[in-house]
Amino acid sequence: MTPDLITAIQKSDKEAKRWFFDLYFSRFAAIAARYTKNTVQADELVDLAFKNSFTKIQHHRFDPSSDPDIYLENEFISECIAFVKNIRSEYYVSSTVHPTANTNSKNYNLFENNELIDFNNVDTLTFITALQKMVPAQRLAFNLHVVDGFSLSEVAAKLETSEETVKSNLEKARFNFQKNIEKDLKSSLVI
Amino acid sequence: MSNHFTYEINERNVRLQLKGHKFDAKESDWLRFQEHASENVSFRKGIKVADKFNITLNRNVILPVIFGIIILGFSLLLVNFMSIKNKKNSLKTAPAQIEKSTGPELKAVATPKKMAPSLQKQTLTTIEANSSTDFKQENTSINDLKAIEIVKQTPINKSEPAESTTSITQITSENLASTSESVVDEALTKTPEASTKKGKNTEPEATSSEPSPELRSTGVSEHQEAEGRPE
Repeated sequence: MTPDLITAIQKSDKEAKRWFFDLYFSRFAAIAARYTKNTVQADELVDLAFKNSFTKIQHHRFDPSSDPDIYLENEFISECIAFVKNIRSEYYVSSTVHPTANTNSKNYNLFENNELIDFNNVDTLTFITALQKMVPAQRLAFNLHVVDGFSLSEVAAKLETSEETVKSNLEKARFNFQKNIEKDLKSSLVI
Repeated sequence: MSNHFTYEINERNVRLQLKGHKFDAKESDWLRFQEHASENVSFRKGIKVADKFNITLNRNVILPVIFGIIILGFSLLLVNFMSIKNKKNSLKTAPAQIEKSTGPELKAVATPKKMAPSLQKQTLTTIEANSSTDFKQENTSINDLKAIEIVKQTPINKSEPAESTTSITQITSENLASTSESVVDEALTKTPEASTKKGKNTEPEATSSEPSPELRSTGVSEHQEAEGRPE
């Protein structure tokens, strides 16, 4: 991202905005897909993030002191956290419910496919769908700590919770992530 | 969570895959973004205007306003109950109220109830004819009272109704002629202003002419005798 592009956006040049959109859309859309629960929310989040970044640049609040790409990514991640937390009906209600189904029910089907799943050769879209099926609090914790590489204290600070809560959510998220991948792969094998 | 759970996912692999994943930018995405941005333009203008004032309606603002309204409402209610008026206005209105209150009482006293209507008319006409002074209008109520008293005092012979009525009218006319003067004189003595205006023309003459009840009774009998009534 060059200074010329920033000045052009500040003058609200449409071509410059389009160029900026094409440059960062692929990265932002990928991040939005794993932070939200479906494509509708992801599209809304991407639009909101681009609009906010344009306004920041136009009002000279854009300060890419180190690296503009890293700065924009961090800004987008904070946008994602705010977006997910603002959907209170999902964030606060569903997080209190146990995410997994009843595991006590035993399966006596002898003809079930009991092949071992190789988790190292899983498609990226499967990972994304497994993340989308998780509860928002667990999804945020997993994304921030595992994917984006923030420490537990940083995650706690970003989510405005304690580290214990983050650890608990992360443990549940790992379990549910693997179970969701298993379910997804088994369902695809049956079909 | 089950106790037999083993985490088999390589997180580094997951991170690399998810970080490296990218979606291709499409024309539809750009158009959707433009629509989304244009929808919120008008909304943004309103927010900018609101941001200039920076009004925060929270608990610390709303509760004092509500209490203030309640206190003002109670104070207004109390003021309405108190009905404070100016002293000047009350003093001005007080005499008018007194006059109004005294007027109907006098009228009520002046109206004769037990008197016959024919007799009442005659007595009134006689009073008007005999009272030559200028205080006719002022002292009509007093004259009426006197006339009523006289009518009450006059004895009526029930055995001879036709003659008695005529005699009563004559008697009353005579008596009223004398009493009207006395009544006027009394009124003059009571009202100093009128006496000063009229001076010596209205000197009290009727003090001696006003007959006592005893004399009246005798006067009636004498008059009857003078008429030569057959007994």
